[in-house]
Formats: sequence, C-alpha cells, structure tokens
Amino acid sequence: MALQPLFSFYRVFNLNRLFFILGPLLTLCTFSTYGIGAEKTAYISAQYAALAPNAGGQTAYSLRYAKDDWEMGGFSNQYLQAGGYPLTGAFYEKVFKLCQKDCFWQFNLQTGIGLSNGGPFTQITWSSVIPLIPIWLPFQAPKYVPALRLDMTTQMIFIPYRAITWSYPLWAGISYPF
Amino acid sequence: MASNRWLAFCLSTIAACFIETVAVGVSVAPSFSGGLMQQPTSNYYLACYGLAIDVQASTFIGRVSYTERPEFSRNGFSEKDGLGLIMAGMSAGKILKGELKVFFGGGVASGYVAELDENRKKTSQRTYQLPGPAAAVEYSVSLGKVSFAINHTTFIGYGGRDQTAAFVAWPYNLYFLSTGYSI
Repeated sequence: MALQPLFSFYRVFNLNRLFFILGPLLTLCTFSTYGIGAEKTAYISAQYAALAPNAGGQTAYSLRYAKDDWEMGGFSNQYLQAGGYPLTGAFYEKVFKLCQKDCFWQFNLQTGIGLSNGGPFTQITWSSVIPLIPIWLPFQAPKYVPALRLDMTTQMIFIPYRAITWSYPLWAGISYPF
Repeated sequence: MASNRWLAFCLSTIAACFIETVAVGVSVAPSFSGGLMQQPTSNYYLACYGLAIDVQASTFIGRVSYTERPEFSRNGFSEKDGLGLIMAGMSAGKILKGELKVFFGGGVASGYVAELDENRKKTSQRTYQLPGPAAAVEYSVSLGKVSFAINHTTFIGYGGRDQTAAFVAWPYNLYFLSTGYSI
C-alpha cells in the first residue's frame, strides 16, 4: 500500500528504544538551541497523505511556503475528482500563531481562501510543526532541521448551488524551516 | 474502554484548569447555538442545536458543550448524532470589534443508525460511540454581558486501532451561530 511507509511508525513505535536514542541527543542538542528562538523563520512544507472516512485514507499532495503570518501553496487530492481530474487548487492563508516562539510543537490556526478546479473554496487549517528530534523544549524548532508537519484541514468548496465540506483529519508531511 | 479513558483524561484536565482558575476570578457564560452539522458517513449538512457553558478566568476559557443533530430519515434508514465536548480555549487576537477565540479538547460523538420497514418502524438499530480530539475557532462580539458568535468546530472520531491502521478517521464538522450571557 502506498501509504504504508508514512504511517509505519504507528506500528513499530517503541518507547524504550525512543528514550535510549533520545537521551544522548537531548544533551548534545540542548546547547545548540540557545539564541535561535527569536529569529524569524520561513518554512517550506510538503504533504503527502491524510486519514479519511474511507479505508486506505487519501493521497493528497500539497506544497506550501510560509513566512511571518501567512502561508500560500497548492494541493492536489487524488481521492476527490472534479471534472474527471483530481481536485487541484492553490490557496492563501492568514496564520494566527497560537504557540510559535516558545513551544516545542509550533501550533497555528490558519484561515484562507483558494481556487480549485472544483470551484473557489475556503479553508481552515490547524497546523503543527514538530521537530523530528524532539529536544528543543521549550524552544523554537531550529532552522535547517526537517520537521514533521501534521495538519487538520477542512475545506468548504463552492460548486454551483451547493457547498461541499471535505476534511483532511490528519494530513502528514515534512516541513523545512530556514 | 478507550472512550472511558479519553473522557477521564478530558475531565481531569478540565478539573485541573478549573481549580487553577478559581483563585483569579471566574465568570460563567451559558450559551445556546444553532447551525449545521456535517455527518461523515452521509456528508449531508443537517440542522443541529446545542448548549454550552463557558467558564472564563483571565484569558483562559473552559467550555463544556453538547450539540445534537435530530433524527434524520432517508432511504429506509434513520440516524441521529450527538457530540459532547470538553475544551480549553484562549484568545487568538482582536479583529474589528470582535475577538477570535480558539479551543482545543476532545469528547465523544455518539448516535445510532436504525433500519426502517415500509411503515417507518425501526427493525434494527446500531449504536456507536467515537472518542476523539476536537478543535474550534470562534469569532465573537460582546454587547455588555450578551455575546454573539459564529463558530466552526472540527471533531475527529477515532474508530479504533484497526480503523486507524487502515487510515480511517471520522471527521465531524459543525458550523453554528450562538448567543450567550455572562453571569
């Protein structure tokens, strides 16, 4: 199954192994976090797949660029069809930083608008950027270290005489801060 | 069993937050709501109504809410959903004369799907309970002690380990207007 590698950590997760690896890394990397918390950071994010109310989830690609208090990007959902093609569009979102500077998990509310081959749409995203080496608590994620991006996104797509809501309950990808 | 654990976690978290807020002055605001619920299996938007109680201290808001979608019948089936949530919230900033608030928490979606015969009598019924996390964004305007708000809530129903392994989750979306009174 195409989604298997992305979610395989769900099955192999072992807490003891995790702490064994992270202990030394915690010591090494805590020192490198000082002084970078106040810097402005931009992000490039790529997402690949999301859970869905159907077996197999949904393959939905997105590529995003975020800076300051906005994010823009494009997406293509291979599960939903519009006019015989995958639902594909571009969006712009205003970012409300709920926990950005001092949080291990950076967490944002994003509200935006976009255009797709299914029609114009609005979008609400709960985005979180989680360092892959979870040792920066309580500091901001460091630059140049890829992070896990997990979103909960809801789109409302306006088609003639109707609106359709579609959710991406857990949309997973990678975020690169720079 | 999973739903019991989830409920215990939510209740203890809210209790801890509540105890912390008692010392700094608390206001209580019940509110009524009406709007639309998108149920994940049918994808229909159906009317819903609800009741919530907010406990606010400084910038922290604790919210307990219950939203119900009345029974809907179609094609030989009838179904009904209820969504009980416990959430913690805070302000995300002022916009014009209102305030944008965000809430996070969890709860349980519960309901039933019943099969109907030709006389619309129930011949069999299946009930379900789905625990899960929830997030809500709300824009509210206050006029004295009365507040008016527009809210969007997303609830992700957890169908169990087998369903998660199959990448399945059950998203519920609520869009509603509410009015409350601060006591």
